[in-house]
Amino acid sequence: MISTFKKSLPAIFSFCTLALALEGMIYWDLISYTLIPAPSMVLGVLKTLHKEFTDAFLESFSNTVQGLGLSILIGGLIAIVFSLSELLKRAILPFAVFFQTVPIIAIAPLLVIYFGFGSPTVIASSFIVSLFPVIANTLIGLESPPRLQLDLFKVQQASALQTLYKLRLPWAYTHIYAGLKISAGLSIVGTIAGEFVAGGGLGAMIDSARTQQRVDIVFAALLLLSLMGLIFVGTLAFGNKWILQRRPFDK
Amino acid sequence: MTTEAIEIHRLNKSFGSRKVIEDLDLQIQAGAFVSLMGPSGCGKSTILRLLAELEPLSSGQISHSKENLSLVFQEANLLAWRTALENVLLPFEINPQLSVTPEDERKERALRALQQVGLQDASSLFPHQLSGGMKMRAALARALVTRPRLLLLDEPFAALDEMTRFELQIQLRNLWIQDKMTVVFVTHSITEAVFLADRIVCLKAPGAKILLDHKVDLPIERTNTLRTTSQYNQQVETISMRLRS
Repeated sequence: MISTFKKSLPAIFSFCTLALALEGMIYWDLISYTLIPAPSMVLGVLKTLHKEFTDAFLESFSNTVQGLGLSILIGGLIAIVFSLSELLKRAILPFAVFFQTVPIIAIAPLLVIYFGFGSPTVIASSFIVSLFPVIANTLIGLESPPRLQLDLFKVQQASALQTLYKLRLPWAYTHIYAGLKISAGLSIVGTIAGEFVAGGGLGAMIDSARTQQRVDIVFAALLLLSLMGLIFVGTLAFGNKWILQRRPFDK
Repeated sequence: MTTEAIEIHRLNKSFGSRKVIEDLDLQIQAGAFVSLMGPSGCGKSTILRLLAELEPLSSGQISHSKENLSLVFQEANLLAWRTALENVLLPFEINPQLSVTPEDERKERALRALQQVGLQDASSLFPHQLSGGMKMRAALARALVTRPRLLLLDEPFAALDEMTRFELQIQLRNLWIQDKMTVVFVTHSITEAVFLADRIVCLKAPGAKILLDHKVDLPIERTNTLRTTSQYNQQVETISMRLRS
Protein backbone atom coordinates (compact mmCIF):
# COMPACT_ATOMS: atom_id res chain seq x y z
CA MET A 1 0.00 0.00 0.00
CA ILE A 2 2.80 2.38 1.01
CA SER A 3 4.84 1.45 -2.06
CA THR A 4 1.77 2.07 -4.28
CA PHE A 5 1.41 5.51 -2.68
CA LYS A 6 5.13 6.17 -3.24
CA LYS A 7 4.81 5.16 -6.89
CA SER A 8 1.83 7.52 -7.30
CA LEU A 9 3.66 10.48 -5.72
CA PRO A 10 4.98 11.95 -9.01
CA ALA A 11 1.46 11.87 -10.50
CA ILE A 12 -0.06 13.44 -7.36
CA PHE A 13 2.66 16.08 -7.38
CA SER A 14 2.12 17.03 -11.05
CA PHE A 15 -1.68 17.12 -10.55
CA CYS A 16 -1.36 19.47 -7.56
CA THR A 17 1.15 21.67 -9.41
CA LEU A 18 -1.16 21.95 -12.41
CA ALA A 19 -4.17 22.74 -10.19
CA LEU A 20 -2.21 25.45 -8.34
CA ALA A 21 -0.94 26.96 -11.61
CA LEU A 22 -4.46 27.01 -13.01
CA GLU A 23 -5.81 28.61 -9.84
CA GLY A 24 -3.14 31.32 -10.10
CA MET A 25 -3.74 31.98 -13.80
CA ILE A 26 -7.46 32.42 -13.23
CA TYR A 27 -6.89 34.54 -10.13
CA TRP A 28 -4.66 36.92 -12.15
CA ASP A 29 -7.10 36.83 -15.12
CA LEU A 30 -4.66 35.13 -17.49
CA ILE A 31 -7.41 32.66 -18.42
CA SER A 32 -11.13 33.37 -18.31
CA TYR A 33 -13.03 31.26 -15.75
CA THR A 34 -15.87 31.01 -18.30
CA LEU A 35 -13.59 28.80 -20.40
CA ILE A 36 -11.70 26.89 -17.72
CA PRO A 37 -12.96 27.03 -14.14
CA ALA A 38 -10.56 27.48 -11.24
CA PRO A 39 -10.01 24.27 -9.25
CA SER A 40 -11.57 26.04 -6.26
CA MET A 41 -14.75 26.62 -8.32
CA VAL A 42 -14.84 22.94 -9.26
CA LEU A 43 -14.47 21.94 -5.62
CA GLY A 44 -17.15 24.48 -4.73
CA VAL A 45 -19.69 23.11 -7.18
CA LEU A 46 -18.87 19.57 -6.08
CA LYS A 47 -19.69 20.67 -2.52
CA THR A 48 -22.94 22.53 -3.34
CA LEU A 49 -24.25 19.88 -5.71
CA HIS A 50 -22.74 16.93 -3.84
CA LYS A 51 -26.06 15.04 -3.66
CA GLU A 52 -26.64 15.36 -7.44
CA PHE A 53 -23.02 14.43 -8.19
CA THR A 54 -23.06 11.45 -5.83
CA ASP A 55 -26.28 10.08 -7.36
CA ALA A 56 -25.03 10.69 -10.91
CA PHE A 57 -21.63 9.12 -10.15
CA LEU A 58 -23.21 6.03 -8.62
CA GLU A 59 -25.61 5.67 -11.54
CA SER A 60 -22.83 5.99 -14.14
CA PHE A 61 -20.61 3.67 -12.11
CA SER A 62 -23.32 1.02 -11.87
CA ASN A 63 -24.11 1.28 -15.61
CA THR A 64 -20.42 0.97 -16.49
CA VAL A 65 -19.88 -2.03 -14.21
CA GLN A 66 -22.87 -3.77 -15.80
CA GLY A 67 -21.79 -2.89 -19.35
CA LEU A 68 -18.22 -4.01 -18.73
CA GLY A 69 -19.42 -7.14 -16.90
CA LEU A 70 -21.54 -8.09 -19.91
CA SER A 71 -18.59 -7.48 -22.24
CA ILE A 72 -16.32 -9.72 -20.18
CA LEU A 73 -18.92 -12.47 -19.99
CA ILE A 74 -20.20 -12.39 -23.56
CA GLY A 75 -16.89 -11.35 -25.15
CA GLY A 76 -15.05 -14.10 -23.27
CA LEU A 77 -17.61 -16.72 -24.34
CA ILE A 78 -17.48 -15.57 -27.96
CA ALA A 79 -13.67 -15.77 -27.94
CA ILE A 80 -13.79 -19.29 -26.47
CA VAL A 81 -16.30 -20.43 -29.11
CA PHE A 82 -14.16 -18.87 -31.87
CA SER A 83 -11.05 -20.61 -30.55
CA LEU A 84 -12.85 -23.97 -30.66
CA SER A 85 -14.42 -23.53 -34.09
CA GLU A 86 -12.48 -22.08 -37.00
CA LEU A 87 -15.66 -22.14 -39.10
CA LEU A 88 -17.67 -20.03 -36.64
CA LYS A 89 -14.73 -17.67 -36.28
CA ARG A 90 -14.56 -17.10 -40.01
CA ALA A 91 -18.34 -16.72 -40.25
CA ILE A 92 -18.88 -14.30 -37.37
CA LEU A 93 -15.62 -12.48 -36.50
CA PRO A 94 -15.91 -9.97 -39.39
CA PHE A 95 -19.24 -8.83 -37.90
CA ALA A 96 -17.63 -8.37 -34.48
CA VAL A 97 -15.37 -5.77 -36.08
CA PHE A 98 -18.58 -3.73 -36.43
CA PHE A 99 -18.46 -3.12 -32.68
CA GLN A 100 -14.96 -1.74 -32.96
CA THR A 101 -15.51 0.53 -35.93
CA VAL A 102 -19.01 1.96 -35.54
CA PRO A 103 -19.15 5.34 -33.75
CA ILE A 104 -21.32 4.71 -30.72
CA ILE A 105 -22.91 8.15 -31.00
CA ALA A 106 -24.29 7.08 -34.40
CA ILE A 107 -26.15 4.06 -33.05
CA ALA A 108 -27.06 5.44 -29.60
CA PRO A 109 -30.40 6.86 -30.90
CA LEU A 110 -31.23 3.37 -32.18
CA LEU A 111 -30.53 1.96 -28.73
CA VAL A 112 -32.99 4.47 -27.23
CA ILE A 113 -35.65 3.23 -29.67
CA TYR A 114 -34.92 -0.40 -28.75
CA PHE A 115 -34.39 -0.09 -24.98
CA GLY A 116 -36.03 3.22 -24.05
CA PHE A 117 -34.60 6.02 -21.89
CA GLY A 118 -32.47 5.16 -18.88
CA SER A 119 -30.11 2.43 -17.75
CA PRO A 120 -30.78 -0.37 -20.30
CA THR A 121 -29.70 1.85 -23.20
CA VAL A 122 -26.67 3.12 -21.29
CA ILE A 123 -25.61 -0.40 -20.34
CA ALA A 124 -26.03 -1.52 -23.97
CA SER A 125 -23.92 1.42 -25.15
CA SER A 126 -21.18 0.68 -22.61
CA PHE A 127 -21.30 -3.01 -23.60
CA ILE A 128 -21.03 -2.34 -27.36
CA VAL A 129 -18.04 -0.03 -26.99
CA SER A 130 -16.10 -2.30 -24.64
CA LEU A 131 -16.86 -5.65 -26.28
CA PHE A 132 -14.32 -5.86 -29.07
CA PRO A 133 -11.07 -5.59 -27.06
CA VAL A 134 -12.27 -8.46 -24.84
CA ILE A 135 -12.99 -10.68 -27.85
CA ALA A 136 -9.84 -9.74 -29.78
CA ASN A 137 -7.37 -10.02 -26.90
CA THR A 138 -8.87 -13.18 -25.42
CA LEU A 139 -8.87 -14.81 -28.86
CA ILE A 140 -5.23 -13.89 -29.50
CA GLY A 141 -4.31 -15.36 -26.11
CA LEU A 142 -6.31 -18.56 -26.63
CA GLU A 143 -4.71 -19.13 -30.02
CA SER A 144 -1.13 -18.44 -29.03
CA PRO A 145 0.17 -21.25 -26.78
CA PRO A 146 3.55 -22.50 -28.12
CA ARG A 147 3.36 -25.43 -30.50
CA LEU A 148 5.40 -27.65 -28.15
CA GLN A 149 2.92 -27.17 -25.32
CA LEU A 150 0.04 -28.01 -27.63
CA ASP A 151 2.02 -31.10 -28.71
CA LEU A 152 2.40 -32.12 -25.09
CA PHE A 153 -1.38 -32.08 -24.66
CA LYS A 154 -1.82 -33.95 -27.93
CA VAL A 155 0.63 -36.70 -26.95
CA GLN A 156 -1.27 -37.11 -23.68
CA GLN A 157 -4.51 -37.36 -25.70
CA ALA A 158 -6.12 -34.39 -23.96
CA SER A 159 -9.58 -33.37 -25.22
CA ALA A 160 -10.21 -29.95 -26.80
CA LEU A 161 -11.97 -28.83 -23.61
CA GLN A 162 -9.10 -29.99 -21.37
CA THR A 163 -6.64 -28.19 -23.64
CA LEU A 164 -8.85 -25.11 -23.37
CA TYR A 165 -9.04 -24.81 -19.61
CA LYS A 166 -5.70 -26.35 -18.66
CA LEU A 167 -3.55 -24.71 -21.33
CA ARG A 168 -5.23 -22.11 -23.56
CA LEU A 169 -7.07 -20.14 -20.85
CA PRO A 170 -4.16 -19.91 -18.38
CA TRP A 171 -1.83 -19.08 -21.28
CA ALA A 172 -4.23 -16.32 -22.41
CA TYR A 173 -4.27 -14.68 -18.96
CA THR A 174 -1.92 -11.78 -19.78
CA HIS A 175 -3.74 -11.10 -23.06
CA ILE A 176 -7.12 -11.15 -21.27
CA TYR A 177 -5.80 -8.70 -18.69
CA ALA A 178 -4.52 -6.35 -21.41
CA GLY A 179 -7.94 -6.50 -23.10
CA LEU A 180 -9.70 -5.76 -19.81
CA LYS A 181 -7.58 -2.66 -19.25
CA ILE A 182 -8.57 -1.29 -22.65
CA SER A 183 -12.23 -2.28 -22.23
CA ALA A 184 -12.48 -0.73 -18.76
CA GLY A 185 -11.62 2.70 -20.17
CA LEU A 186 -13.86 2.24 -23.19
CA SER A 187 -16.81 1.12 -21.06
CA ILE A 188 -16.81 4.56 -19.37
CA VAL A 189 -16.77 6.24 -22.79
CA GLY A 190 -19.74 4.08 -23.81
CA THR A 191 -21.63 4.94 -20.64
CA ILE A 192 -21.24 8.68 -21.10
CA ALA A 193 -22.19 8.50 -24.80
CA GLY A 194 -25.26 6.46 -23.81
CA GLU A 195 -26.22 8.90 -21.08
CA PHE A 196 -26.02 11.82 -23.51
CA VAL A 197 -28.96 10.38 -25.44
CA ALA A 198 -30.73 8.20 -22.87
CA GLY A 199 -30.34 10.44 -19.81
CA GLY A 200 -29.15 9.79 -16.28
CA GLY A 201 -25.72 9.76 -14.64
CA LEU A 202 -22.79 12.06 -15.20
CA GLY A 203 -23.36 12.09 -18.98
CA ALA A 204 -26.75 13.76 -18.59
CA MET A 205 -25.27 16.22 -16.06
CA ILE A 206 -22.56 17.20 -18.56
CA ASP A 207 -25.16 17.55 -21.32
CA SER A 208 -27.43 19.77 -19.25
CA ALA A 209 -24.46 21.87 -17.98
CA ARG A 210 -23.47 22.41 -21.61
CA THR A 211 -26.82 24.07 -22.36
CA GLN A 212 -26.30 26.39 -19.36
CA GLN A 213 -22.62 27.14 -20.15
CA ARG A 214 -21.68 25.77 -16.68
CA VAL A 215 -18.07 24.74 -17.29
CA ASP A 216 -17.55 24.26 -13.55
CA ILE A 217 -20.16 21.44 -13.54
CA VAL A 218 -18.64 19.91 -16.69
CA PHE A 219 -15.15 19.94 -15.14
CA ALA A 220 -16.46 18.55 -11.85
CA ALA A 221 -18.10 15.70 -13.79
CA LEU A 222 -14.87 15.11 -15.73
CA LEU A 223 -12.96 14.93 -12.46
CA LEU A 224 -15.40 12.30 -11.19
CA LEU A 225 -15.08 10.37 -14.45
CA SER A 226 -11.30 10.36 -14.06
CA LEU A 227 -11.81 9.07 -10.54
CA MET A 228 -14.05 6.33 -11.92
CA GLY A 229 -11.36 5.41 -14.44
CA LEU A 230 -8.78 5.26 -11.68
CA ILE A 231 -11.05 2.99 -9.61
CA PHE A 232 -11.41 0.60 -12.55
CA VAL A 233 -7.72 0.57 -13.48
CA GLY A 234 -6.67 0.39 -9.81
CA THR A 235 -8.99 -2.53 -9.10
CA LEU A 236 -7.74 -4.38 -12.18
CA ALA A 237 -4.10 -3.73 -11.29
CA PHE A 238 -4.67 -4.86 -7.70
CA GLY A 239 -6.49 -8.00 -8.84
CA ASN A 240 -3.76 -8.75 -11.38
CA LYS A 241 -1.03 -8.39 -8.77
CA TRP A 242 -2.95 -10.58 -6.32
CA ILE A 243 -3.39 -13.33 -8.91
CA LEU A 244 0.20 -13.19 -10.20
CA GLN A 245 1.57 -13.47 -6.68
CA ARG A 246 -0.21 -16.81 -6.42
CA ARG A 247 0.15 -18.06 -10.01
CA PRO A 248 2.92 -16.72 -12.28
CA PHE A 249 0.88 -16.64 -15.50
CA ASP A 250 3.18 -13.94 -16.86
CA LYS A 251 6.48 -15.87 -16.61
CA MET B 1 4.06 -55.81 -18.18
CA THR B 2 5.23 -56.16 -21.78
CA THR B 3 7.16 -53.61 -23.77
CA GLU B 4 6.33 -52.75 -27.36
CA ALA B 5 8.59 -52.88 -30.36
CA ILE B 6 8.56 -50.31 -33.13
CA GLU B 7 8.20 -51.41 -36.72
CA ILE B 8 8.72 -48.77 -39.40
CA HIS B 9 8.10 -49.94 -42.94
CA ARG B 10 8.75 -47.94 -46.13
CA LEU B 11 8.05 -44.68 -44.34
CA ASN B 12 7.80 -41.52 -46.39
CA LYS B 13 7.25 -38.00 -45.17
CA SER B 14 7.23 -34.83 -47.21
CA PHE B 15 6.68 -31.22 -46.30
CA GLY B 16 5.33 -29.73 -49.51
CA SER B 17 7.69 -30.79 -52.25
CA ARG B 18 10.55 -31.46 -49.82
CA LYS B 19 11.01 -35.16 -49.02
CA VAL B 20 12.31 -35.42 -45.47
CA ILE B 21 12.01 -39.17 -45.07
CA GLU B 22 12.26 -41.56 -47.99
CA ASP B 23 11.45 -45.28 -47.81
CA LEU B 24 12.73 -45.70 -44.26
CA ASP B 25 12.72 -49.20 -42.79
CA LEU B 26 13.60 -49.51 -39.11
CA GLN B 27 12.83 -52.01 -36.39
CA ILE B 28 13.41 -51.31 -32.73
CA GLN B 29 13.27 -54.10 -30.19
CA ALA B 30 11.16 -53.81 -27.09
CA GLY B 31 13.14 -52.52 -24.13
CA ALA B 32 16.00 -51.22 -26.30
CA PHE B 33 17.78 -47.92 -25.81
CA VAL B 34 18.28 -46.58 -29.32
CA SER B 35 19.81 -43.31 -30.33
CA LEU B 36 18.89 -41.64 -33.61
CA MET B 37 21.81 -39.53 -34.70
CA GLY B 38 22.52 -37.21 -37.54
CA PRO B 39 23.10 -33.63 -38.59
CA SER B 40 20.42 -30.94 -38.25
CA GLY B 41 17.66 -31.32 -40.81
CA CYS B 42 18.28 -35.01 -41.53
CA GLY B 43 14.78 -35.95 -40.34
CA LYS B 44 15.48 -37.49 -36.93
CA SER B 45 13.09 -35.19 -35.04
CA THR B 46 10.46 -35.77 -37.73
CA ILE B 47 10.70 -39.53 -37.12
CA LEU B 48 10.05 -38.88 -33.43
CA ARG B 49 7.07 -36.64 -34.21
CA LEU B 50 5.69 -39.31 -36.53
CA LEU B 51 6.10 -41.95 -33.81
CA ALA B 52 4.20 -39.65 -31.41
CA GLU B 53 1.56 -39.06 -34.09
CA LEU B 54 2.14 -35.33 -34.03
CA GLU B 55 2.53 -35.36 -37.81
CA PRO B 56 0.62 -37.38 -40.39
CA LEU B 57 2.84 -39.69 -42.44
CA SER B 58 2.81 -39.33 -46.22
CA SER B 59 2.99 -43.08 -46.86
CA GLY B 60 4.28 -46.29 -45.32
CA GLN B 61 3.60 -47.85 -41.95
CA ILE B 62 4.53 -47.36 -38.35
CA SER B 63 3.36 -49.97 -35.91
CA HIS B 64 3.66 -49.57 -32.17
CA SER B 65 1.25 -49.10 -29.31
CA LYS B 66 0.18 -45.47 -29.04
CA GLU B 67 -0.84 -45.89 -25.44
CA ASN B 68 1.75 -45.46 -22.75
CA LEU B 69 3.94 -43.19 -24.80
CA SER B 70 5.78 -40.17 -23.46
CA LEU B 71 7.69 -37.51 -25.30
CA VAL B 72 10.36 -35.21 -23.88
CA PHE B 73 10.99 -32.14 -26.00
CA GLN B 74 14.07 -30.04 -26.71
CA GLU B 75 12.76 -27.54 -24.18
CA ALA B 76 11.42 -28.48 -20.77
CA ASN B 77 8.02 -27.21 -21.87
CA LEU B 78 6.66 -26.81 -18.35
CA LEU B 79 3.50 -24.83 -17.69
CA ALA B 80 4.65 -21.60 -16.00
CA TRP B 81 1.59 -21.29 -13.74
CA ARG B 82 1.99 -24.76 -12.25
CA THR B 83 4.49 -25.86 -9.62
CA ALA B 84 6.94 -28.66 -10.44
CA LEU B 85 4.65 -31.15 -8.67
CA GLU B 86 1.56 -29.85 -10.47
CA ASN B 87 3.38 -30.12 -13.80
CA VAL B 88 4.23 -33.73 -13.06
CA LEU B 89 0.61 -34.37 -12.07
CA LEU B 90 -0.65 -32.96 -15.40
CA PRO B 91 -0.77 -36.28 -17.33
CA PHE B 92 -3.17 -37.68 -14.69
CA GLU B 93 -5.54 -34.80 -15.41
CA ILE B 94 -5.52 -34.94 -19.21
CA ASN B 95 -4.60 -38.48 -20.22
CA PRO B 96 -7.79 -40.59 -20.45
CA GLN B 97 -5.91 -43.78 -19.48
CA LEU B 98 -4.53 -42.16 -16.34
CA SER B 99 -7.52 -40.12 -15.23
CA VAL B 100 -8.95 -43.11 -13.34
CA THR B 101 -5.92 -43.16 -11.01
CA PRO B 102 -7.02 -42.35 -7.43
CA GLU B 103 -5.98 -38.96 -6.05
CA ASP B 104 -3.57 -40.27 -3.40
CA GLU B 105 -1.87 -42.63 -5.87
CA ARG B 106 -1.39 -39.75 -8.33
CA LYS B 107 0.39 -37.68 -5.72
CA GLU B 108 2.48 -40.60 -4.53
CA ARG B 109 3.59 -41.42 -8.08
CA ALA B 110 4.33 -37.79 -8.91
CA LEU B 111 6.42 -37.35 -5.78
CA ARG B 112 8.28 -40.58 -6.52
CA ALA B 113 8.99 -39.41 -10.09
CA LEU B 114 10.35 -36.13 -8.73
CA GLN B 115 12.47 -38.07 -6.27
CA GLN B 116 13.80 -40.29 -9.08
CA VAL B 117 15.17 -37.22 -10.84
CA GLY B 118 16.40 -35.60 -7.61
CA LEU B 119 13.79 -32.86 -7.44
CA GLN B 120 12.01 -33.88 -4.25
CA ASP B 121 12.89 -30.59 -2.52
CA ALA B 122 11.72 -28.43 -5.42
CA SER B 123 8.21 -29.82 -5.80
CA SER B 124 6.50 -26.59 -4.73
CA LEU B 125 8.61 -24.29 -6.90
CA PHE B 126 7.34 -22.72 -10.12
CA PRO B 127 9.33 -23.22 -13.36
CA HIS B 128 10.78 -19.69 -13.29
CA GLN B 129 12.32 -20.54 -9.92
CA LEU B 130 14.11 -23.61 -11.36
CA SER B 131 17.44 -23.74 -13.21
CA GLY B 132 17.64 -25.09 -16.77
CA GLY B 133 18.76 -28.50 -15.52
CA MET B 134 16.03 -28.65 -12.88
CA LYS B 135 13.39 -27.75 -15.48
CA MET B 136 14.56 -30.59 -17.69
CA ARG B 137 14.51 -32.95 -14.71
CA ALA B 138 10.91 -31.93 -14.02
CA ALA B 139 10.07 -32.59 -17.69
CA LEU B 140 11.67 -36.02 -17.37
CA ALA B 141 9.66 -36.69 -14.21
CA ARG B 142 6.47 -35.68 -16.03
CA ALA B 143 7.32 -38.17 -18.78
CA LEU B 144 8.17 -40.95 -16.33
CA VAL B 145 5.13 -40.55 -14.09
CA THR B 146 2.98 -42.16 -16.79
CA ARG B 147 5.20 -45.26 -16.59
CA PRO B 148 5.72 -45.15 -20.35
CA ARG B 149 6.62 -48.27 -22.28
CA LEU B 150 7.93 -46.07 -25.07
CA LEU B 151 9.90 -42.96 -24.15
CA LEU B 152 10.79 -40.57 -26.97
CA LEU B 153 13.37 -37.85 -26.29
CA ASP B 154 14.17 -35.08 -28.76
CA GLU B 155 17.61 -33.64 -27.92
CA PRO B 156 16.46 -32.97 -24.36
CA PHE B 157 19.88 -32.05 -22.98
CA ALA B 158 21.13 -29.95 -25.90
CA ALA B 159 20.66 -26.61 -24.18
CA LEU B 160 22.24 -27.62 -20.86
CA ASP B 161 25.76 -27.05 -19.59
CA GLU B 162 28.15 -30.00 -19.77
CA MET B 163 28.11 -30.93 -16.08
CA THR B 164 24.32 -30.95 -15.89
CA ARG B 165 24.15 -32.83 -19.19
CA PHE B 166 26.50 -35.55 -17.91
CA GLU B 167 24.51 -35.85 -14.70
CA LEU B 168 21.18 -36.13 -16.50
CA GLN B 169 22.57 -38.66 -18.97
CA ILE B 170 23.52 -40.95 -16.09
CA GLN B 171 20.14 -40.40 -14.45
CA LEU B 172 18.29 -41.24 -17.66
CA ARG B 173 20.37 -44.36 -18.24
CA ASN B 174 19.72 -45.55 -14.64
CA LEU B 175 15.99 -44.90 -15.00
CA TRP B 176 16.02 -47.02 -18.17
CA ILE B 177 17.87 -49.84 -16.37
CA GLN B 178 15.19 -49.69 -13.66
CA ASP B 179 12.11 -49.62 -15.90
CA LYS B 180 13.40 -51.16 -19.16
CA MET B 181 11.04 -49.15 -21.35
CA THR B 182 11.87 -48.71 -25.03
CA VAL B 183 13.80 -45.47 -25.45
CA VAL B 184 14.36 -43.56 -28.68
CA PHE B 185 16.79 -40.72 -28.03
CA VAL B 186 17.45 -38.13 -30.73
CA THR B 187 20.79 -36.33 -30.60
CA HIS B 188 23.41 -34.88 -32.89
CA SER B 189 26.25 -35.66 -30.50
CA ILE B 190 28.26 -38.85 -31.06
CA THR B 191 29.60 -38.86 -27.49
CA GLU B 192 26.11 -38.53 -26.03
CA ALA B 193 24.75 -41.25 -28.31
CA VAL B 194 27.56 -43.68 -27.40
CA PHE B 195 27.29 -42.96 -23.68
CA LEU B 196 23.52 -43.44 -23.52
CA ALA B 197 22.46 -45.97 -26.12
CA ASP B 198 22.95 -49.64 -26.87
CA ARG B 199 22.27 -49.09 -30.53
CA ILE B 200 23.01 -46.05 -32.65
CA VAL B 201 21.23 -45.39 -35.92
CA CYS B 202 22.92 -42.64 -37.94
CA LEU B 203 20.81 -40.87 -40.52
CA LYS B 204 21.79 -38.62 -43.36
CA ALA B 205 20.01 -35.98 -45.36
CA PRO B 206 18.26 -35.92 -47.71
CA GLY B 207 15.63 -38.56 -47.08
CA ALA B 208 16.79 -39.75 -43.62
CA LYS B 209 18.74 -42.63 -45.16
CA ILE B 210 20.35 -44.98 -42.66
CA LEU B 211 24.07 -44.39 -42.92
CA LEU B 212 25.09 -46.59 -40.05
CA ASP B 213 23.40 -48.99 -37.64
CA HIS B 214 25.83 -49.63 -34.83
CA LYS B 215 25.59 -51.80 -31.73
CA VAL B 216 27.33 -50.12 -28.80
CA ASP B 217 29.60 -52.51 -26.94
CA LEU B 218 29.69 -51.01 -23.45
CA PRO B 219 28.61 -52.19 -20.00
CA ILE B 220 24.93 -51.86 -19.08
CA GLU B 221 25.66 -49.44 -16.26
CA ARG B 222 27.27 -46.20 -17.36
CA THR B 223 29.12 -43.86 -15.03
CA ASN B 224 31.18 -40.73 -15.53
CA THR B 225 34.44 -42.72 -15.31
CA LEU B 226 33.39 -44.57 -18.47
CA ARG B 227 33.89 -41.38 -20.46
CA THR B 228 37.65 -41.58 -19.94
CA THR B 229 38.05 -45.28 -20.74
CA SER B 230 39.65 -46.43 -23.97
CA GLN B 231 36.68 -48.73 -24.58
CA TYR B 232 34.30 -45.75 -24.71
CA ASN B 233 36.63 -43.58 -26.74
CA GLN B 234 37.17 -46.42 -29.18
CA GLN B 235 33.42 -46.65 -29.76
CA VAL B 236 33.23 -42.90 -30.36
CA GLU B 237 36.18 -43.09 -32.72
CA THR B 238 34.74 -46.06 -34.64
CA ILE B 239 31.48 -44.25 -35.31
CA SER B 240 33.27 -41.04 -36.09
CA MET B 241 35.52 -42.76 -38.65
CA ARG B 242 32.67 -44.66 -40.26
CA LEU B 243 30.71 -41.42 -40.59
CA ARG B 244 33.71 -39.68 -42.15
CA SER B 245 34.28 -42.49 -44.61
